[in-house]
Amino acid sequence: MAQEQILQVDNLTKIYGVGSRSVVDTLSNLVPGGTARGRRVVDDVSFHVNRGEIFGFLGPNGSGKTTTIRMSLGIIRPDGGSVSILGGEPVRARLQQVGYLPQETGLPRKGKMLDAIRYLARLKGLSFGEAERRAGELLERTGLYEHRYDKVDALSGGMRQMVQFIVATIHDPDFLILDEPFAGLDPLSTQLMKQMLNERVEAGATIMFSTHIMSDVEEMCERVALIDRGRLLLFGGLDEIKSSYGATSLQVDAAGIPDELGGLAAGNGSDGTIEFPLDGEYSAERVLKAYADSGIAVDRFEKLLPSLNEIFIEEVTRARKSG
Amino acid sequence: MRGRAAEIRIVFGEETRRNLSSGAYLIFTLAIPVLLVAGIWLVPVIVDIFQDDEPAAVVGFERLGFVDNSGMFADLEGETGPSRYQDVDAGVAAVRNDEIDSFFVIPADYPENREIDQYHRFTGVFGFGGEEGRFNAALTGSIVGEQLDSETLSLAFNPAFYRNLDVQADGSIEEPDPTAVRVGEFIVPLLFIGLLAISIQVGVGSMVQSVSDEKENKLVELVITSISPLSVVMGKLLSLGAIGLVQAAVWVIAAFITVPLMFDGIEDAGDLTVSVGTGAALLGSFIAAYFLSIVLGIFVGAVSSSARAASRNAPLIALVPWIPLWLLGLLINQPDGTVIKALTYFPFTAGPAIMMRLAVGSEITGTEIILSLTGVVVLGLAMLWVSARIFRAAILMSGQSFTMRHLIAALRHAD
Repeated sequence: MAQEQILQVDNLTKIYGVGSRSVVDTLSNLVPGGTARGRRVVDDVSFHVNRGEIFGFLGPNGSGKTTTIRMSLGIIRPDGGSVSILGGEPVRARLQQVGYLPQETGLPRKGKMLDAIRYLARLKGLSFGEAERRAGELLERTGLYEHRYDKVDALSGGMRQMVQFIVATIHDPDFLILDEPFAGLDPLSTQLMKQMLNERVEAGATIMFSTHIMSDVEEMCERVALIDRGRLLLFGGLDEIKSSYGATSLQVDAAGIPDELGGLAAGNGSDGTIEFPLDGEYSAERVLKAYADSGIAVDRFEKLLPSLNEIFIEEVTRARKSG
Repeated sequence: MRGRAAEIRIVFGEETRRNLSSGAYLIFTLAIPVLLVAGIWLVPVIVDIFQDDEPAAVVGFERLGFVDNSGMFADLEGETGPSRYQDVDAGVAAVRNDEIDSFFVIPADYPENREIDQYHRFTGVFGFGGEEGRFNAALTGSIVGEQLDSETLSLAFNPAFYRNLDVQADGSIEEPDPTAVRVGEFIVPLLFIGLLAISIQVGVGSMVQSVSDEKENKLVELVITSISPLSVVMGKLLSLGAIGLVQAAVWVIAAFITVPLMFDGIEDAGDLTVSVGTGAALLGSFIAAYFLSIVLGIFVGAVSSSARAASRNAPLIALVPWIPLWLLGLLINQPDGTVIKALTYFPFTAGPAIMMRLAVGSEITGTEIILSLTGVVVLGLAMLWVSARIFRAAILMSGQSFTMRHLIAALRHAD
């Protein structure tokens, strides 16, 4: 049975004018159609997010992640393609069920933290009392309760990011879109946010977050999309993507290294684990054959798949070389 | 799904809370009543400074002196004045010793050129206390006194007591308003003009800042994915409108209580009462002008590239309604002239123009006022519609110029 798609992005395209910040750029940003002769900051991108998953949206800085997210939320309009979110166009009635953490801090800076949270929660449909209660709970949870009367301006960058996270989740949305959620957070806060996100997923929510920190994605996501210069480079399950790249090295637990492989071993762990990088000349089969020929006993061997970081670098480098 | 009224209510509440919690609003609202209360003591003191020390006691020819070199005024000296002096030195000494305020030197060739020197201590702001007029009367009495009996002489000095009759536009004749009302019809519009000036300055400034803050805060992405731009604009407008009107109401009430007390001891200051028609016209003009100004504030705040640019533009908006004030001379001399009438029908200057015309006793009609204010309200509503249409696009364009091209594009493709 096909999984329900919370977000469906089909052939999404956004064209900005020649040179950033130009008048044409801006006009194109605001109205459909834009300009015919512009830079494609998002170019024919298609992907979908399934209900109940944590989806990683990857790409280097300036790759078009934020523009794609903004189009998904109807903040700016696409020049081509379509977006379906929670079963339809991104209209406000649907977006009430979406929690959004923008990349740039979006809080009333002169106001107090609690007032800002309460106001934005009320915009998402909570009553004054509910907003107050939920804000209190989340501030307690994130350790910010004692700062609730502090001015937003006086908060650190990490605290502001956590306040934005509270704002995004306070109305228990079905779908959370987080643009660089862990930026500026210390490890403890990052850990707490990840824990809270996992709880949201366990409660039935769907999460999509953008990042260029691959370890976060490997830790949390089952499926990912990678874009660079507005173009989709990869989309699918993380394991599936890794498998398609094949093994990059072979890990062997053995008492020694055959003479034939002496110069190849990349690492010789104190626990007897040896890693052999694989390439066109040395396949896994050739390494194992060398062990068999040498008579050295092998206790265990494992083909190692590439890390997401390696895939990211390889894909982006290849795409840029090919222009 | 929540209705628009609920969305507007949320923005209204937030805007009101932000403005009231700033402290500046409360301080400013209370500052005017405090100043007015202070005026109860200050105004009589100031008026006293500008008046003669003993204005009521100086009647007739007291404290006047003269030197007659023409020989024509042998009987000019009276028991209570003017006093005769032998020469200029004696007169100067009398002035210096404060025996008299002024003395006049009648030259030998007086009949030919009638030039008389007045010697006086020019102190205070205005210097004179009407001595010339009184000495003229003394001269007249001396010149014609011998030829007229005392009754005719009295008639000559006080030839009539006038009764004023007011010719109405329809040709009917009425007693003019008593002095108190006439003063009120002048002073009260002036008070309203002053209040409007302050309210527009504060209201426009607050609105421009509120809208431009949305740009600086980067809050708009969250706001416009939650509620409609019209709700945002309406919430802000109603909040600042209500705050401004409450502030103005406090000031008006304070003025109506304190101003009569300020002028209580001053002759002919009156009770500052106005007719119902004038009051309604003033109130209507105030509300309409304030409404249009703060709607303009939304527009300017939205299209300004940054909060700093917006704060530069705000005072310019607040200046526009005061074009009639710059033409005050023309307004006083020709309150129903073409230029002033044109300003009455130009929506941005209509409110203050009506108020000023009411103050200077123009023949502005009720129809003229209604037509003019209707134009103001219609333009205000149109500006409100435009502001709401472009709000999302304009706010998203933080740091960039919003050109006419953008305006047209945003209007065409608004939500």
